[in-house]
Amino acid sequence: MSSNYSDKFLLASSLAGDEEAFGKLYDKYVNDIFRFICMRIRSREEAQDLTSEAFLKTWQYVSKKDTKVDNFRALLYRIARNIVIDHYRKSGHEMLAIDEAQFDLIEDKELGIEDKLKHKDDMRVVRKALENLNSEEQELIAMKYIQDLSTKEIAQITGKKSGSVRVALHRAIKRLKQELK
Amino acid sequence: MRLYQFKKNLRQAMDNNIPDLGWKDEARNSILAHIRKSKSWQEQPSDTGFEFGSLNSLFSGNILKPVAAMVLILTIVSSSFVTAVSAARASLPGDRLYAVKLGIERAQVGLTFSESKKTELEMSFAGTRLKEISTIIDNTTAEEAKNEVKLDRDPLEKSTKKKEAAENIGKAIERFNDNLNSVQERLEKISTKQDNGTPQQDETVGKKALEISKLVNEKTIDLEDNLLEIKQKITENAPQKEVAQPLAIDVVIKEAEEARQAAETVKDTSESLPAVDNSEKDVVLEATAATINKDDADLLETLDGALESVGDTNTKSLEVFVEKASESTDQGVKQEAVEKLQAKIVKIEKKLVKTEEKIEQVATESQGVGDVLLIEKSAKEDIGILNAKEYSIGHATGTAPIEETKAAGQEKEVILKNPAAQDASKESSSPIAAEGKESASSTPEILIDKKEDVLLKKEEPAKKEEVSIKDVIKETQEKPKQAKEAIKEVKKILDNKNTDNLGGAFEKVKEVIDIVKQANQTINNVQVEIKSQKKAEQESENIDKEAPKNLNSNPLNSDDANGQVQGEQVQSEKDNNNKAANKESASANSSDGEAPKEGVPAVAELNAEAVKS
Repeated sequence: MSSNYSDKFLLASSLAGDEEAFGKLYDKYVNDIFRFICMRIRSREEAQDLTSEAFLKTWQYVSKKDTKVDNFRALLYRIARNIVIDHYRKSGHEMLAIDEAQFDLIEDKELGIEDKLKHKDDMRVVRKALENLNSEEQELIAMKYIQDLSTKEIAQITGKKSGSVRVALHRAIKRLKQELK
Repeated sequence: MRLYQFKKNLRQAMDNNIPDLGWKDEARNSILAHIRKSKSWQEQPSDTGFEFGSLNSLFSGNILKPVAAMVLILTIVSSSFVTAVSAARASLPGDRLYAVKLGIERAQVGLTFSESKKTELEMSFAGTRLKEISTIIDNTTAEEAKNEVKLDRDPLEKSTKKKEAAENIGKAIERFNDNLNSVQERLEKISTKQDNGTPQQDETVGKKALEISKLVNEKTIDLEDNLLEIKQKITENAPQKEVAQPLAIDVVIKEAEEARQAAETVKDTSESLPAVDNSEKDVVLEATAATINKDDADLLETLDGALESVGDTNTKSLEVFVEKASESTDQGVKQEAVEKLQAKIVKIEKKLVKTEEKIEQVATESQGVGDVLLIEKSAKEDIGILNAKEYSIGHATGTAPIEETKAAGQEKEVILKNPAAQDASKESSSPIAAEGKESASSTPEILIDKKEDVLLKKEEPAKKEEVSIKDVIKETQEKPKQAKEAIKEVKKILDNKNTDNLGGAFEKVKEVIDIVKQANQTINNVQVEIKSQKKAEQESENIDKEAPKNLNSNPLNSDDANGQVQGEQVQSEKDNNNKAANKESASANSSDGEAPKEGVPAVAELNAEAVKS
């Protein structure tokens, strides 16, 4: 059974009166959504607040009458994305590039000093490459490679057509390859 | 750097970035709390208007429905079990997914091979049913509390909602009983399945049977507790609704009052008016309460059935356990069996006390019927010597004085006064009295009243039934005594730590269970009979809108209104008799812990008449 169908089951039963079913959806996606939001929000606390806000808003949306939910995951990301955009609109800041600190978090204890240094180097490359992309490209790359979203889902989240997402993604990857060289 | 390396690194970087655990839980709880309060969730749990995508359309088609359900079930059972099953598992009776849920359960049982595992599954499903019921009740109460005003204005909608909930609960109970029945069957199978294979295999089979019967035994005790909880919930909810109802009742009463006032201008019956009004109110109140409580009463009855089913399963599991334990060589297991039997006996004893109380209660109720009948009959016609004679034939011991009395109005006093009759009744109840149980204290009264009942009913076509009710009550009152004796014997066996005779002990226990069950059943039947009798009387009163009606339906405030018809007949009889009778009956009442309430005013009425005359 595909993940989307099991999502639908969970959603249906949560709407039918089982709060725990929504709890399961939360458990399933909370880390991904948090990461997704973290890409844009520097403060962890803020990211956490926005994450729970995303889930609440999603519930409010799906519990409305006559709401058709085709893909719960895509809906959740779309709402999370909009929340982040709203957040910046409210605070008046520019959207931030990917947070540097995230790449420093990594600590692989099993590695030797040499490997550690190499790893750190690699991470710097990754960060640099991402930073050189524009925010739209960053977002696409993140959704594709970090969140494992399909083109169709990305289209649903960003509100674009599948075709244009595919093209934009292709370009973003091309640019990324250039940056990595 | 290669793209795949980039991907790997990026993902690694992100994987390490997870929210704090504490926050995660906190946020989860607050979100779920929000959902609980959410409007759509409380308003329409079964039809939330969600779109179920392609699944929804599959389910809406009647033809495809079973197919779709089957496909779903198969997919769910065979593939990603946990999340999907738990999703359908959340549905309640009446929900769209409920059929899928039951199907999943069946499939799960079907796909399991070992009999004991199947039993285990079914036990857990039975538990699920009870949880569902509990949820339904909670949802309904929450909903009602929320829309109290709205629902009160619209009793029809209220009753529909209640009915719906009751239906859904009924469905769940039905399944619950099914589950337990098949558990019993499986236990039977497990207990008989043995003599095939090596002794070693036999031993493992025996062990399994022990394990599973033990599990079922323990689970049934839990289930019983849960059921009792549910029962309490329903009974707790019932009076609230009665309180919530007066709005509607008041309207009806007001209307009735207005109509009465209009009638008053035509026909001035100032004296009887307040009494009539009261009785009117009573009738309306009772009628409304009856409709409201009917659903609850039905539900409670279903629950009682389920309780019985649980009891049966418990007994069955005990039987298997005891059987296997006595075959086993393990002394520890045998000891356990003894303990289980003892625990069961404690339970039975509790039940026995309840049964006794119930017998007492029903006997008191039957007394009420007697009172009403007495007044009604005496107001209408004489009961002659013939009836009294028939009575005395039926009850051979010292009823001679009755034959001498001729007026119907006096029957009650005569019987109450008649020492021989009282002796007779005491005699029959003495064994119980020796046990020192509550029921014993009220027995003389009960029997006396039953005699009245018989006496008055002799001339009615339904005479046979009446006789049987009386006999049945008498017989049932003997049952607890029998049960207690059997319990004593079991205790003797168990106290001796004699583990060889476990089977014998269980047989006895089963005997006791059967006795108690039978007593309960008969007493319930009697109660129903009495109730229908009372109802029939009330109906006949409603048709016959004469003064006597007030005497019957409302004896408490009809002291001044009753004098007219009945008094004339009674007056001519001996006043002294009346007084003596009242004294006797008063002393009889005071000697009871719980004197029948309806009996007192009836006697008081007669007393008042006597004084008047």
